[in-house]
Amino acid sequence: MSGRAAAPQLQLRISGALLIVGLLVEAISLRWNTAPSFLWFMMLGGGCFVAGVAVYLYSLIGPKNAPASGEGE
Amino acid sequence: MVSPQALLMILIGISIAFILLVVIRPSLIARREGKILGLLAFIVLPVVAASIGASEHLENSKQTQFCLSCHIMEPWGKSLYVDDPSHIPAAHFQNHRIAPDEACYTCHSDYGMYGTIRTKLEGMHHVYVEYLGHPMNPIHLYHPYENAQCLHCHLGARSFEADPLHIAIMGDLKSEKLSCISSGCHDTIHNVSTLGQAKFWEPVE
Repeated sequence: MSGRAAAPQLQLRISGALLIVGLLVEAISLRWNTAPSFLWFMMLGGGCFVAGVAVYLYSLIGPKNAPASGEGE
Repeated sequence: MVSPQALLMILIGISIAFILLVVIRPSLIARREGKILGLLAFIVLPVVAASIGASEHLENSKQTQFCLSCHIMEPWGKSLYVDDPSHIPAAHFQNHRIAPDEACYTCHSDYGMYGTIRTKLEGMHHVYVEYLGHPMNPIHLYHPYENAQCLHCHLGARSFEADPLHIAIMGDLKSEKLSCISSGCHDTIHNVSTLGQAKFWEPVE
């Protein structure tokens, strides 16, 4: 696999990891009805969600993806 | 019946499964049709799950338990158990004139247009100040307590409207010229500074 082809896959993995952490933080924080759990959800969960979606979008439209878009077809 | 929280957990599980599927088999999203799967796994499902989670958290934040989870609010929570009917919040809480599990929210929410949003934003500001900022010492309301919050329930209630004094000053109460709690009528509010001398009501378990 070339470096150019591997870059979007790495971004996909990073995005996936961030989103999974965000979802797990959400699931865990909902077990308690306290201000700290809300704060964890907003700060850590929200941060992971935003970063995960941003990395995924970047993997779609980022410059490294352009040459590799024909792969697999 | 499955609770909304259980449905949310199922949605979170499905989202994680889709993300793992795409991460393990990236070739699935290489084709144009596969991009839809990618959008579903990496954007649609997580965003829906996060939105429902945020809504659930905001709904839970109405609960008395949530407000009292901040250490700084402990005396205010304790004041709800003062065994003295002249203590307005305690009398409302103990006699279920307000829903006891949403006691803080019921009396401290804004009932005007967009009031719910304003109240939620103020609540988020409280959380921010408590954990990331510097809480006021002693803490106090950002704005003077408005009669509108009392009148939201009491207006139209027989015992309130039949009182000759209330009838005489109704205009001033509605226009906020006279305050229910700071004009000398119902001025025993949380009074946390005197809790040391107070007797407390113990609910039967």
